[in-house]
Amino acid sequence: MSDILRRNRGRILMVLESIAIIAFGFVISGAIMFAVGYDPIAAYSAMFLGSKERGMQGAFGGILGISSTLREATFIILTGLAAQMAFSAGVFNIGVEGAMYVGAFASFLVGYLFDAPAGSILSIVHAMVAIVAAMLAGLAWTYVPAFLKIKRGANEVVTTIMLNYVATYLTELLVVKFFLPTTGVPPGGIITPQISPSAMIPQLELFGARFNLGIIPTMIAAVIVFIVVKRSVIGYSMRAVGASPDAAKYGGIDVNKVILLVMLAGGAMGGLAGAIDVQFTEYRFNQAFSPGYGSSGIPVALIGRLDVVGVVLAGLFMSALHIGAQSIQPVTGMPREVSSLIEGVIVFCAALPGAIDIIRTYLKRRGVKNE
Amino acid sequence: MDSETYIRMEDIQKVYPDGVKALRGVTVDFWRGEVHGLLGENGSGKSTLMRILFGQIRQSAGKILIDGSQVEFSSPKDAIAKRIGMVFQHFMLVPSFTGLENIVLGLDVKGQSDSQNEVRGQALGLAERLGLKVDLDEVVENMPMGERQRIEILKLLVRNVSLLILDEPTSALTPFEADELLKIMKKLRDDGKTIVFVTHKLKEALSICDRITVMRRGLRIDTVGAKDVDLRSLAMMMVGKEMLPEVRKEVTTPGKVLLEVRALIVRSDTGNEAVRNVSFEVRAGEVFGIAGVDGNGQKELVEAITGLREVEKGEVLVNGVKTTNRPPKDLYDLGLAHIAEDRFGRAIVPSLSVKDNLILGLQFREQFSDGLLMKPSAVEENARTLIRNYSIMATEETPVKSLSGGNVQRVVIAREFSKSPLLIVASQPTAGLDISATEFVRNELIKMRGEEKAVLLVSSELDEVLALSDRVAVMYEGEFMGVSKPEELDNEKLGLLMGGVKVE
Repeated sequence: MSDILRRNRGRILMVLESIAIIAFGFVISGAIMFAVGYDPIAAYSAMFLGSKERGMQGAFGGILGISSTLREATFIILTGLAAQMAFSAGVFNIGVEGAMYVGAFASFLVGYLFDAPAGSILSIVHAMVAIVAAMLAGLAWTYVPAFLKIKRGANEVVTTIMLNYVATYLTELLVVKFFLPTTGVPPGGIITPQISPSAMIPQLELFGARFNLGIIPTMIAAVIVFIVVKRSVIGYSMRAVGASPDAAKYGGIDVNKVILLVMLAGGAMGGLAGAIDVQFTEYRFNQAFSPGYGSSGIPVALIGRLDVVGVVLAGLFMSALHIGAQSIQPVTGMPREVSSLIEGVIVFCAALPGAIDIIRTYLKRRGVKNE
Repeated sequence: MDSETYIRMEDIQKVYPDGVKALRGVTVDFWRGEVHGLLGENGSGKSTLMRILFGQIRQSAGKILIDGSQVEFSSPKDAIAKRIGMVFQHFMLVPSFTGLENIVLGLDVKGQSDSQNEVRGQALGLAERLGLKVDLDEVVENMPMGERQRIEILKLLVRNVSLLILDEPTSALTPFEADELLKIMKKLRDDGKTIVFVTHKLKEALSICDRITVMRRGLRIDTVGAKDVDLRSLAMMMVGKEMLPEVRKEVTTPGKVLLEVRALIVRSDTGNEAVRNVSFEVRAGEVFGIAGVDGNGQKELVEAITGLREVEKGEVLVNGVKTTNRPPKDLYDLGLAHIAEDRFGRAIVPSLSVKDNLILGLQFREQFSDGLLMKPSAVEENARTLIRNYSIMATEETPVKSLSGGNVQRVVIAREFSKSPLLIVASQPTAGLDISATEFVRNELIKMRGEEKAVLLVSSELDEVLALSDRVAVMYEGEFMGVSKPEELDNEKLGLLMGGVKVE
């Protein structure tokens, strides 16, 4: 036992550090709430446990709260994994949001244009093909900035952010141009008709709440990422490239190939997140489906300290904060601005140690290169 | 010539925090209106001395006197205020700015456009008078090296500097540009400036300098009038007479050619030809040494041979197989081991553990992975064995960045030798190591020679190259000055070759 403790001393310290700074974030946020005249204890209680009188469940205060927390966590765990892989190889791929939109649209197209008899093997094939199409679309979309980075040295932060806009507006344009005329503008906003039932993955009804089964592919993705990062030759190469591209090259690693791989993997995961919205959740393409899942992946990866288990926990944590914050206003009467503010403060604090780690590595990498 | 002392550096000592004594009490006078050569090998302390004069680092003891009164510099700004300026080997210009913008940058100016015009006039006047050909409106990154350097000089002249330190100023230049620079230096001197010309090039020093100070191992050996010395005596002063440590070498008969380099041309990062038409071969059971002052193309040559830098022209063959511009992995498969010069930046991944670093470059081998997944137990077993066999003071899990320099080099050597190589390229393998670590590295290399491996040793430590090598080449400005047996070389001859003087 003490041997295990000693061997993992670094990791244990890291976890304690993260917990301490998250607690610090809660204290700071509490002080802010207190300063503007609200009871922090009541607010945190509303956040996580909800309030029976007001009919709010917070993040964990009831089955509906839990199902919402899990649903949102599904998305940001996936985007968090994508960001984690990129960061550990020293790549700043901000383009997961775009890949997710393109993936979602691809999933919708395959789901909408084809049909298969319900309950048959073909319907399973149909659903799977739509998911794979989403992942391939996300992958192909990310190939553009990856190619530009490798061949032309274009900074991936800039290109991926620009392509995010292209992806969201392009899908919006396609919906407006080709699908709204048939559906008319529905009250739900810019949305397409539903996909064929054979591509839909049903939600699980439990105790009166609906559970999104997207958590299953997400967990599979997490396990694969875990194996790749911890056990594979590519994972080893990723860590070497992330810490020192010069040393990686010296170590016989094809640095560009590793960069390409992590970016494409991130694109595929973004695509999968898109498919989870279309096929597991809304059963249609909703142009406004993402409240920024792609960019949330970045703090999730940082809070999770670039570790798969950490990212899963961080995804749950951030989702709980976000869902929980929605209960604060109805329960305590606190303005939404304040509840958003405290959510932001806590996320900022929680992501700080991971961000500092990354900045440190990045500065070191530059130092090596400029010498 | 006016022989009035302008700046005096008195008993300057410098001890770095890690205990290295870079300067051990150096006194030198610079006269007004002279070109003063500062000559020495790597590690002689000449750059340290000049960085102290420029206020970049502080001396541990000793004082600086300008016209007899003591000055204290806490930054280059103070030095410039006292009219002392320095042009570094690597230029300090903003590449995307124009020449004028670089000159204005950092000047205490108020209104932007007015003062820029004022500076432009001033700069143009100076450039005209001193024959500095520059285009002030061209962006620096489009300028050839020589023009960038002239911008650097102009930048200092606009700041009204009267003592200019030029640190190895000709090393980045083409021969034509270097000639130009020497002319400019003469004009600057005639204009009343004092120039300190830091160099290791004997001919250039003799052709331009009025007086030359020779340094070696942190000491001033002598200051002489350039007219009173010749190349040979300068070379002797620079290299000195030192006892070579005895290394026991068995007699071997060189076998098969394991490395062949044919008419190699390689460019440096700045695009200059760093390696110019170099050919040689290294055989099994032989140590081939390359000596020379750093920055004469050794780094680029090694990188080209080991697959880390593009070969412009020519061929590299490892064990008879053409490997020109093949990636490092292919070279390792053919039996290359590379003890890289940049230990922390290249030979290891600092944040990874000892056990992960001990397989860097071997991760693809069947021993450690099945091509997809790693074999963690094999990786640990390998680390345990190598840590034991090479007396590495660390556990398998220790991040390499927390190891001492000597221990890091043990990690590197343990790993490279565990590749069971045919050819070992060792670049500055003992730089910065203490005596016992140095002995260890040298003995390991000799052991490899005894085991019928080919060793290419690149080192700026002369005694090391002479003691370990069977044949020695001296590299100067990207070319081999000649290949000889170490017993045919004495220090005078070596000094001349390193200083760019061919000897028959």
